Amino acid sequence: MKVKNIIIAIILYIFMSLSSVLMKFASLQSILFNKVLLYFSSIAVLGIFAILWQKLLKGNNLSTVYAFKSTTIIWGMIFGVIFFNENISIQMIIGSIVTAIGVAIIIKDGSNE
Amino acid sequence: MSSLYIILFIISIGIASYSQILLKKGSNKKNIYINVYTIIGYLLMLGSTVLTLITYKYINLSLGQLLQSLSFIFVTFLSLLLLKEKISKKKIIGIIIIIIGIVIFNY
Repeated sequence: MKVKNIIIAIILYIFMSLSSVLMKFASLQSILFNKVLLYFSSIAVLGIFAILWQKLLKGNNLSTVYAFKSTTIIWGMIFGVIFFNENISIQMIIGSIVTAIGVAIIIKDGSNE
Repeated sequence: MSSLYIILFIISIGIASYSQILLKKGSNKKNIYINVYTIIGYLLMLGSTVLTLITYKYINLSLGQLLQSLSFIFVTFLSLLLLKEKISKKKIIGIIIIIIGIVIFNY
């Protein structure tokens, strides 16, 4: 996979994680207007992701690009710390790595079909 | 109790995964964009985001992102059940490893 496409795939999944960040921000709002605004922003970011996703898929295998979905686990932890004061423990890191391995196995098997 | 919300979050992932099955079924129809399957599929997807909205208040972002990995498991089993797609041994191993990873994460 070309370096340029790898970078694009990584950025795309950062966007996907940001969509979840917006969703969580939305869930924490007590003012309904803010809640709805952030909810739709989250969906909009997902929409942008979907469009760029189709473009990236055009030149690359689905299984190759989809493999980057595991990076959302990393972004989830980092953004969790940055935006929501969450903690990272060693269990979380080990658990994330193990989960990512499981995901990779399923994706690799999917690409062999 | 936050475990209720974890269950609700997992349910929302399940609904989103099921909607993927419907979208796949919809892709076999004459009009691949607008048919019973795609309409209900997208409605369910929407419902799933609302459920996610409700539950994210009580769940860490890091946990939420990790639990998304369950969609691989749900889609695999639902594809087996509803689309008659086969599951290979490798996929089952992958599924078990994902579950182990999630358990370790929450230890």
